[in-house]
Amino acid sequence: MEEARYKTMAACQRFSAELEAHLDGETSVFIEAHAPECAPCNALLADLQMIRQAARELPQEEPSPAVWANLRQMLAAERSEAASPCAQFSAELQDYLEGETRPFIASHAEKCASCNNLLADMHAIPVAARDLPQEEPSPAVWASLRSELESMGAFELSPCVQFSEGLEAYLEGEARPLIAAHAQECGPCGALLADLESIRAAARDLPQEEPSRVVWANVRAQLEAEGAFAGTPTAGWRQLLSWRFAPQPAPLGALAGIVVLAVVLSLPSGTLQSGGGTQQAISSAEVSQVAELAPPPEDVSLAHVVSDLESNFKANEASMTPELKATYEKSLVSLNGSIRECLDSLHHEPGNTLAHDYLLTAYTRKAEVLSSALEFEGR
Amino acid sequence: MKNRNFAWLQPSRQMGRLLAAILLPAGLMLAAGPGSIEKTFDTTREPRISLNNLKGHVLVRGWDKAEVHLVYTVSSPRVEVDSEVLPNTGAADMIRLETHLLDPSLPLDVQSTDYTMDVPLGASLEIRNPQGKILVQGMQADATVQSVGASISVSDYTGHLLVHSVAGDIEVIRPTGSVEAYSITGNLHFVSPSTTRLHGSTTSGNILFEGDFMDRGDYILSAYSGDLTILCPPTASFELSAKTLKGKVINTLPMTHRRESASPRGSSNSLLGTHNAARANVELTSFSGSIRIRPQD
Repeated sequence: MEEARYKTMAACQRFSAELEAHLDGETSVFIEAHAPECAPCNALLADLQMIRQAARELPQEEPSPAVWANLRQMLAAERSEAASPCAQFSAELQDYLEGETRPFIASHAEKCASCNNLLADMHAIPVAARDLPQEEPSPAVWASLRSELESMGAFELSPCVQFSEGLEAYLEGEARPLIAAHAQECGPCGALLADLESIRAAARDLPQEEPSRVVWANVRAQLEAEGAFAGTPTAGWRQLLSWRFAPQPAPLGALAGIVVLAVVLSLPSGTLQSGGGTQQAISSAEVSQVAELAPPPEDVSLAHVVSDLESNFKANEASMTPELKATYEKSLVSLNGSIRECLDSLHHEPGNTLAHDYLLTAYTRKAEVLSSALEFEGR
Repeated sequence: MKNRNFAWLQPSRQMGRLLAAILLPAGLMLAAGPGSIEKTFDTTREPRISLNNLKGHVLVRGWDKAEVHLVYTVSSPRVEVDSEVLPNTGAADMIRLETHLLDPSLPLDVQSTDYTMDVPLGASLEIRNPQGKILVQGMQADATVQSVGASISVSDYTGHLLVHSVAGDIEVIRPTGSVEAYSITGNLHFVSPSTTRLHGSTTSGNILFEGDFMDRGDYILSAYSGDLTILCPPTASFELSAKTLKGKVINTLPMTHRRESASPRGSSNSLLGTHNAARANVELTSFSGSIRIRPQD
């Protein structure tokens, strides 16, 4: 059934394809065979033959001679205009004015007055435009323009831009409803926010590991080399003290020394390496006396840190004002006396915790004073 | 008498006017001080004010106005004071003042700048004056006051007070808020405190506490080689822990002793006891200085 239907359709398609040739007089056996078998195709063939016959029987009317004459004139005019030098001039003028090399333009302009005038005008217009005063529209015009643009939303930041601009504040804890709302609507922004929040959460969970003392020493040396401690004198003192008491960011230099102190103080005794030369960097006579007695093993690293700070102090003390230098030195002498006395007490009575507490306090105070002096550098 | 001729007075009057014209502005200038500059800033009731000075005196007083009145005097035209006021318009919430040298080679004796500031009572302060005396009077908010070599005196302060001087003496008079005072070689002097939290520490300076202890107050004072002296009224009520490794503990108040002499921490002189109802906690320690507890006269 399907096969017969398919064959019928194929035959009708072939009939349509060959019909025009058949009507033009070509002989087609297929057309003549299919038409009697297929009613629709037969009806179509009959209609077309009838139309053809009717058209043949229409009267043969010619347009008037005037119509033909006008038509010929118009065609001739178009042909002549297209071929004229002025037309070529017009066609090439724009390119010439835009800087292209067009020798015909100049040569034709010399011969043709109207084109020459046109070319002169075209040259004069930009010059005149450059000389026009730069007059601003009135404020009312600007206001109107602005309000119209605003009503069209031309000045509105895209939600993603607003998201980017508010993200940092949001992450720092400010209330920014737009951030959360937009993150839910926008895939990329939502992913960004999720990433940042996960990074923050991961960072929070990271162990608080301190860099080694060597790293801090290098940081400090680098900062000193870069002049990072060449700030205002008050800033240096403030920064040292800020570390201790105020909720302000402390300077890296002071922080370096102090953090190491804090780490050392927090470490259990016995975990620190002991070694010779703890006091080697200390050069003054006063401090040399400190070196005569070794600190308890658990305080060696702390003493070493203080020693490093003191070395830096000695290296920089020449830049200090005499008045401040004297102040710091007086304080250091006092602290060195404390350290020496505590060490002596511990030497005779190792279990004296009061002496040990004072020793730690003296080291810490000394580190503070040295850091302060290094930050200040006498200015 | 009406027609009395005073023509002979005319030259002297003219001379007087001339002198007045010359001397009056000069007098006004002298009254303001050489190089004095005066500024007034409208502020909120609780602005943050920071001052970074190099050298010279600083006086800060609290007043009941929402404005800062500043007078400063530079000792050289090569010393400059920068002021930053935030926000730029309206009542300022933050004022930063900083002294700096236009010429780093300026001699030390002309580097100083003296400041006098009247500030709102509720202003929080950060004052740093490494080489000059600092006086702060009658403030209510938090303050950080720092010096390297000069003395600091703070009186009638009700906010949290942090005072630090490397070598200068520190005096805190009638504080009501919590107090932390630290020095290395300077003395600490606390007068009539009404605070419940007072911590003071010095290495080689002495500590003098004159006043009563507040109920549930916590007073921790420590010196290394300096002496500690407590002068309190006989009615003071506190629990005492006084320890010194090499010095002496001298107490003349009637005390209920809990333990004295050698402690488990090592050989030290100590006094642990209570006076009256032990409403406050007092801890005094020194390494080689002496500790004295005496009644106020």
